[in-house]
Amino acid sequence: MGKQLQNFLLASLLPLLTLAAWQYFAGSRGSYLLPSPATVLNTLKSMTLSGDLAHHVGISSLRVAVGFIITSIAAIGLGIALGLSPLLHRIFSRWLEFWRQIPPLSLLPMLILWFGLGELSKLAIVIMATFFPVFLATYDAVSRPDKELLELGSLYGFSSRETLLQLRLPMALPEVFTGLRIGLGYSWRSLIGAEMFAASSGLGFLIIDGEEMARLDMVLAGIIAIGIAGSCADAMMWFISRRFRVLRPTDAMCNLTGGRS
Amino acid sequence: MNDIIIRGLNKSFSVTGDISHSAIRDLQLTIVPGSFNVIVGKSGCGKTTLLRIIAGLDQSDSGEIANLPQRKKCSLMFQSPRFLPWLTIWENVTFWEHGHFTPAEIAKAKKEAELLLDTFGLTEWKSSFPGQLSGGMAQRASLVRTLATSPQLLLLDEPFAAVDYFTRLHLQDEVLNLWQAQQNSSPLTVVFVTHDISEASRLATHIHIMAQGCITATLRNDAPYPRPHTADRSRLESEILSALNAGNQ
Repeated sequence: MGKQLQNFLLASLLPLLTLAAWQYFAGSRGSYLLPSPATVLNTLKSMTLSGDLAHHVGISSLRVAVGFIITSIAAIGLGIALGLSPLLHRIFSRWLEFWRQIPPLSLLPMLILWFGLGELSKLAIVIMATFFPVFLATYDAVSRPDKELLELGSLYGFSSRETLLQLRLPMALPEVFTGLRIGLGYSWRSLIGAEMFAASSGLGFLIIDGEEMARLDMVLAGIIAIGIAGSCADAMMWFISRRFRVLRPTDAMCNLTGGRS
Repeated sequence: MNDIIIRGLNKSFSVTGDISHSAIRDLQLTIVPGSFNVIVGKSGCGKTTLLRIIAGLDQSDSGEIANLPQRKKCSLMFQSPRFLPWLTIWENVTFWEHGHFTPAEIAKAKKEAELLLDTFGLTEWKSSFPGQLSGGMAQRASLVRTLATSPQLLLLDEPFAAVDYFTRLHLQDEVLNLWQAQQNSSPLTVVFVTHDISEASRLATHIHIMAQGCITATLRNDAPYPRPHTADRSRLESEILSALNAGNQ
């Protein structure tokens, strides 16, 4: 209990300092340039009560969830295939490398032209943003397995199917999950960007709407909501990774009951 | 069961470009069924490579091994436990169940694994994860995984090199007990690789001296077990040492 309290206090240190600095600057610069924490809290409260905030958070989360799930399945599948097949890797790698260099938002003008301001253009942005971290992490992990552990498979006469299911895929899971966490973060960021240009709902739209109405309190409320929603999504990923017993071979020598690292 | 006879075994590894390192050179070795063989040699003399070839993990360049039991009757224990960190101890020690064994063999081996875990005092750790075990416990669990499938040929690659002195003695006794217990029913042949001379004098019935990729001498030791430190054992250890020095010249 003492340890938990200590952790809580340590984790609260920086938010409290930020809050104090925010309060100080808001007081000295005037609410036009920086609304005070109390104003933003009031805005958050009224937007929560009116259901506006839930609406925007819900829409953004749904867009991220749909895009993220579709892309993750495709990226993990392709990562495994390319990790196992040098031929496929030779065919795909240069082409994928070209696409990896392109920031998803740069495609927005074209996507709006093709798909309008509807959901498809935002989905495409999320897909582009999520794909590469997940794909690269999966490819990397599957193509460079721990040879010592693989030898257990040859020792016990595993078929190639069993080697894949019992050794190569579980071995790759920790890196795949790291890729998924990074991918999820990227999809949030790019979606907010897309919503700022091409949407009439969602957290990105909320921020732009606040800017146009010169309501910095709304902008800040939107930013705080993004931070909280993103952290919740990441915590969920972390929870899932624990359920799947995702561990690195090097974790074998450290105590599993230890905290999150 | 006939003697396992290794004749003219060669194995080299390419280092860079055209340069290759010859790990095993024209090696000859006879392993008597039911014997406890310890292969002693310095680091890099090729003893692990030899064990890996016998276990089927590496292919020799030339030479032959006659009368080797079928592959699922050979069991190899590595220097480190090589546990899968995402599996419990029980799932690890029965990991062979995904391999080349029949359902009946798996059922029998699982019963054996239960008994061995009990013998080694690991039953309460069954649902723990490898990271929660001490080094000695992990090696014991690794021994359970290696022995549960009732092998005819047990290959041990410096299995106790990483544990402390007392744990090592304890684990040596456990291997010795298991080997002796099987002498009358289905004899177990052991090939134990080490660089530790006292381990050889304490355990082996046959001590094979390995130097520069070949077996240079074989010494027999028929002294009864247990073998405390006596003048005879010291004499044997000096013999092993001089044979090792002779082989490395």
